[in-house]
Amino acid sequence: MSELQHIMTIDERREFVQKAAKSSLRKREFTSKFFLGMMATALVIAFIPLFSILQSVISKGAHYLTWGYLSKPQQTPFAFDLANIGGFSNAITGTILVDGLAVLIAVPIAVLLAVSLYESDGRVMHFLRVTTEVMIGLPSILLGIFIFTFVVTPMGYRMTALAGSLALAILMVPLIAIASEAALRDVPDTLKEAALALGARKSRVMLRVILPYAAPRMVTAVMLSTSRAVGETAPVLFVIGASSLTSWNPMSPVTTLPTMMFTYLQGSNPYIIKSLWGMALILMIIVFFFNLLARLVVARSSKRGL
Amino acid sequence: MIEEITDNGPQVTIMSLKNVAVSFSGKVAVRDATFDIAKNRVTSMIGPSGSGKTTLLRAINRLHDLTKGAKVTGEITLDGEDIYNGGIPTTLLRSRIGMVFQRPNPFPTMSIYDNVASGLRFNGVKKKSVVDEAVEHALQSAALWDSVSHRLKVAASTLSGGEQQRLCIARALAVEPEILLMDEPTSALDPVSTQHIEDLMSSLKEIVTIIIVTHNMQQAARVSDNCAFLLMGEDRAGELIEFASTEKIFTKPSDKRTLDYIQGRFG
Repeated sequence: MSELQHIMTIDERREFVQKAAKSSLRKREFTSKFFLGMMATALVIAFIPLFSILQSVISKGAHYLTWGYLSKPQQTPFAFDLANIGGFSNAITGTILVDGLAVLIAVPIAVLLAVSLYESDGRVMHFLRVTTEVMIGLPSILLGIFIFTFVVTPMGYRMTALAGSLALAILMVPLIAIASEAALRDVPDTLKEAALALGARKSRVMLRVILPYAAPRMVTAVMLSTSRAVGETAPVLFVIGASSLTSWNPMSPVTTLPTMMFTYLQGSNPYIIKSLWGMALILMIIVFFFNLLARLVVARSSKRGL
Repeated sequence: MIEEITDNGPQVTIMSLKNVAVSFSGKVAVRDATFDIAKNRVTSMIGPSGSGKTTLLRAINRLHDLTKGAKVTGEITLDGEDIYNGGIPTTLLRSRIGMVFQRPNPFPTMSIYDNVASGLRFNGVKKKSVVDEAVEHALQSAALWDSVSHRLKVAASTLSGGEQQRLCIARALAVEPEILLMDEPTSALDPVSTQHIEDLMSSLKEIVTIIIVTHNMQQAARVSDNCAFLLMGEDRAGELIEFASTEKIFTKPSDKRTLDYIQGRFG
């Protein structure tokens, strides 16, 4: 091998490389096209279920997007008028109440947790980090059982929107905290050093430099975990009381779209079963709205030139 | 204050380094640094990569405090007070010793105005009239006022690389530091921007003492009054070889290794 190189002049070697490149060109082009084709196929396969779900939810749910269904609460229809099922307003307000409260509870805790994980590296923090990461993988129904045991039961089996918010907050905190900590770690050290070199205290560096820089990604993490929470059934199912009344009171029983869908699925009224499509569509619109908001926030802040 | 008559005329010492060594987890990165920094002069630190110039510079405003396992020994005094074992709180020390970094690093989430004002705000200055005046003065000192005065609220990231570095100089100057550390401030800049920064340094030394680390020997010769030459020793730790007036270092150095370096025989 090395002898061969020694007997070749530069020109000969150049010619050799050019020849090899030319003769392998067709093969390389074929490989490239082959993999492009594979990727296109994979893309189509991935999109088929996605689009068919979207298509069926929209086609079967669109006619439920009327003022009547959106503004009236659910009602149990009489036997001679099975189509009179009321609307979804109690579940829509319940979803907004339970998830809104969950965000308000989860965000401050998650941000503080992320900052602590970022700032310290002791043993306790390592344990906390591992715990947080493991919590992301907890089956969400456990959170419902936990809240039922430690919140609902001590309050005399009182089911409340707040209990549901607490369960969802526990679901969201690790998701937001881990993503936020990653965002904090991506803040360039040189910005931190610049602030410190101006005589800034650690807390000021965090509040004025690190957090503003990481904020867009932290906001995205909040949005995505909210989207996840909005669609959850298990954690809230047996703690919020599945009320058919519309209420904005956190201490009253409420229902959310996923839980109402779950309970509706137990019945036998075909009109009620069909209306699940409408509720699914409303849920999808809510999630879509959250994701859109997340994208807008990121787009706006990247325009700032990060 | 002792006035010392040197090649550069009378000089007042503002800072002294005595046997300063920096090690990371027991591994020595630079040692034996002993020299005085003259007030209102430019002191340069030159030497090849790995000679510990930047490491030494960062010891002066205690930036190594952040690094786990980093240890600074020896003595650094500012106006006669030990900066490591004396009574100066680290944050106050850093507001007295500003720093400009290798790559321009304006705060991307802040406007031009807020970048310059940031040091004052970090240190608790809130009065708007004071901040306004300091911002204008600092931008003027950094020769940036004329080109940005009409767009102070614009994001700092819209400036060119050279302007960003001058903004960083303005940001450091706004807290009126006594010493300004510059860590290869022009290594990421084009020749014209480099020229601007070099011109700036000769006017800035009226108001602040400058310590500059540079790869570029011509730059050290052009801008500095005194010069420290560092070199990596056999055990890969940087050490001070020679400290003298820049003129002496570049014309008749006393150490052969200095001569070899300035004549371009290595490094």
